[in-house]
Amino acid sequence: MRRLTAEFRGVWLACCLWVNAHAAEVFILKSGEGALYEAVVRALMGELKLRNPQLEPSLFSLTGNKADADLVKNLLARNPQVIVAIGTDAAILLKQQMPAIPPNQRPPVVFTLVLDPIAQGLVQSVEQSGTNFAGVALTVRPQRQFRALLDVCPHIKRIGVLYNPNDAISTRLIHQARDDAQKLGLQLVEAHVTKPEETQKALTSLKGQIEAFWLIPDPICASAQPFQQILAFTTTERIPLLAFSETYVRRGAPIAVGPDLSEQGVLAGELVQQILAGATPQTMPLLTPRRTLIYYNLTQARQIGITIPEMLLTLAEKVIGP
Amino acid sequence: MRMWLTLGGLVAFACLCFAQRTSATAEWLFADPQEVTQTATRTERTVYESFTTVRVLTRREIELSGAQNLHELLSRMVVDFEAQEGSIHNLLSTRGAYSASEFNERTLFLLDGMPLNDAILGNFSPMSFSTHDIERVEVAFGPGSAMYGPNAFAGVVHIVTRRQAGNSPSSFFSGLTERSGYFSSLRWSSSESPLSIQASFWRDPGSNRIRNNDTVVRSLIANWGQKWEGHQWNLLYGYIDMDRGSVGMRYGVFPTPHDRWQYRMHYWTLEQSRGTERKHTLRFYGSAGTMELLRTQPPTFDITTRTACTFNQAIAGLETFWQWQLGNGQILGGGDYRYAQASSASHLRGRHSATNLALFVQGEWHVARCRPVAGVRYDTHSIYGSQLSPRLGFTYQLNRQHILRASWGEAFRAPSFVELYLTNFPLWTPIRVGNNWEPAPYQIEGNPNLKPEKIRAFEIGWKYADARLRLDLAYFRQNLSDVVTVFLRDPNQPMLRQYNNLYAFPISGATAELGWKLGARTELTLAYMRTDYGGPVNQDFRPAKERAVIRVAHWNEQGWSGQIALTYPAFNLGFTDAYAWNSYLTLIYRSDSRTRWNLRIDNLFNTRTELARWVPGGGRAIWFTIQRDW
Repeated sequence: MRRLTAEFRGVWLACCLWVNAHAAEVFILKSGEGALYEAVVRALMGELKLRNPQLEPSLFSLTGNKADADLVKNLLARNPQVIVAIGTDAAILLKQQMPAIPPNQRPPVVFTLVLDPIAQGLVQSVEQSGTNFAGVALTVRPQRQFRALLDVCPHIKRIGVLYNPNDAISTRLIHQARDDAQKLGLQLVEAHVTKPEETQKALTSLKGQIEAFWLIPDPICASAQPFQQILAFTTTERIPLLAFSETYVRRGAPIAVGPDLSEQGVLAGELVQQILAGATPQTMPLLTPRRTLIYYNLTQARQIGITIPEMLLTLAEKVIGP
Repeated sequence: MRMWLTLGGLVAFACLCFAQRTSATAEWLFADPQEVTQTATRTERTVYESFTTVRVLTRREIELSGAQNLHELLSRMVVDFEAQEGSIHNLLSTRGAYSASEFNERTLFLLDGMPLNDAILGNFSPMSFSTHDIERVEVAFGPGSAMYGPNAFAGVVHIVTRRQAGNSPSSFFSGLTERSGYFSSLRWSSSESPLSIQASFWRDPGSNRIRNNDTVVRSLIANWGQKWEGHQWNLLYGYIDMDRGSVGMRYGVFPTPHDRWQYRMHYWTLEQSRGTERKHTLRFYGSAGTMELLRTQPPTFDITTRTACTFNQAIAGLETFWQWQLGNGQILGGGDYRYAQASSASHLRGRHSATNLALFVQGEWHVARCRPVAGVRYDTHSIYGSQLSPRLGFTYQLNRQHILRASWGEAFRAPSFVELYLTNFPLWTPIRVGNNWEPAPYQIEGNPNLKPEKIRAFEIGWKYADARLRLDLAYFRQNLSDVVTVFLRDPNQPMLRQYNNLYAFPISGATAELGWKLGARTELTLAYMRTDYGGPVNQDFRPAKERAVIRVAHWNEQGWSGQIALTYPAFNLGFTDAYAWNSYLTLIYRSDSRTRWNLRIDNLFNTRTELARWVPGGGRAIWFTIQRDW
């Protein structure tokens, strides 16, 4: 049944492509469904419409099965002017299918909502892409996060962090964070976690050594169970937990500094317009979030004895109560 | 046989759409999957952590339902509501708290926080509100008077407009159905402008078996929102003009084929809020308008004998409340002053007015895994005196997937001006004269001594949620007292009825809702409600004991999307229910990112019962619509 379904989907997607064959030269490929991608798509469409009202992009979405590869092959074969990949899965799949296309026919790809495009091999450096991919990184520079933490707790000197040393994205982020911490007079106290079961042991090793904890978007450390352990640890130790998105503030982190997801769509829209105007992705720099959003959880802040000044609260994107 | 075919079709549809997302990438760590609601407590809480049953219908679900108005939406998608046909508009019975006097007065409707229930009948007609401007609908069940006062009796329906949700592309929506039915809606909105405007007009042809059952609605919603020096200002204006044939399907009333019910109402609210740790909200709100019944008296087929029965009403209110953060808790407290006026020279004994002053306070705490809530509201009314409405609730988080909840509360429903003062309002009932049926008038009189209806209710529930499955089980018991209904005033005057606080009875029941993600874009929802009555309930208006809703929805950004929904019973009307499954199919084809073609088929399997309209017996009805966004 699964195979039959996949084949049916392949035929159906081919039909969709045929229907839209003459209508669009820009394809948007999402990594999946959900509010996360929808927010970016909405902002992207708004930006494209603002700059080029005639543009009619076609929207496609991955489903996580074998038909995805056929979809991507079909998209590339249409030789569109630009393909926008939203999310890591879409960008990686396009990268994997690209060698099948002759080099002179490879369409430019603008990616967005990708955590670390360099670690994923989509671009070669921040300054210059060097590939036919250009886009926007999702990660906020650690320095911005540390500054927000220092605004609330200026006395902090040692920040603890857990990360998976086998994860290229986390490792690159930690390298960057060491530099940023040093610039701000902070010391990063690191502990390794290669599987969720090691979280408690790693946290115990940090006990008494840190004055704050920094949660990074590491799929192991930020998953549900380890996060609960980190939250319990920081609450017991009465130290602030600095997270990277609103969802963790809702679950109990007192502070989070994260990217504006809508801006990811807007920046991708700007890149699409530049490529349509004649720019080549190879020479484009990697864009990073221009705007960061700050979230506070007052209940948790009070529980660990932190008072957040009213001025900071007014600048926050969202303040969550009990 | 049809039932088996339906279930077979559902299974086949589900298998066809089955596709599981296999990879999870790190950007998902940035997503917040928790749906937040404010309706139950006026403070932000996730739906999962709500202490009472809360149902949320998102924009996607609204589109997939194919519903053109709020009444259709709620009756198709939410198991706790049961649709009923009434003479002036279609009704909703909320968790068995039936409507004895043909109005929705036991449920409070809010539009972006503004109360919509009027002063004449205490109701709001959900069939007069287009779904095109709705971003989401939140429904909090159980007594809500502790926060909202009169009318929040069995539940609160909160309509959140697309502008309020910050998501409102300009668009045009239009469609046709057979027998001259049409629907058009035009919305203008811009991310550059703080203003958005939507105008809608539609004609619902009603039953194909009954004359004068159509409904024509014209509505306008204007929204303005601006942040200025730390203050958020919102201005909302709404206008609804509904014209409906009032023969409907009422039993026991002589057919009056030219009677029309006309309802014209203006709504407005100006809201200002500021602050974070000490948040303050100030809201001026009000409504003004007319209800007019054009009647042939006595009922004949001669339209020239039609006369107008006119009712006017106005409401003006000022509400203010503060939210304070205190340690692990949060306090919400405030006051509400409301002035209401209604007049009808011939049917309400002139002009009447009333004032209501209320104070309310609510505390929420977060203690380990437990989140208790306690609230109370004191209302003092110039006609019926004072009311105290307390409420308690808590949730206990067993672990990440399981949560237990319980709540207890009291609420009241204020008698409307019609119930208090109606006079000179004959209804025509058929009596046998020889071999013919002749119309005979009987009068309904208001009763100035009415007391408010009261409800005392408790509910316990269990919720489970993981990535693919969510389950919400609840058991509730509601004790209603001083229930207002029409009854004989004097046994020697059988043709004279009067509103009275006649009944007291309990309603107990249980609800279950299971949501199962069959794939990344496919969801199956199974919902069931059972209600049991004790005491002397008027059989005429008792809703069905059992109700079920089955939905399978599949969604795509481009190409085909669709939903098939089955509801049981098909429809409810006074004496009887149509004990059959009704079926609704919606198919949506998105030819590009801005264009949507919709096909909606009501009563897909053309099930026949004695009841008519778009329900079994009413025949299959097909709507074809198109939406274009800019």
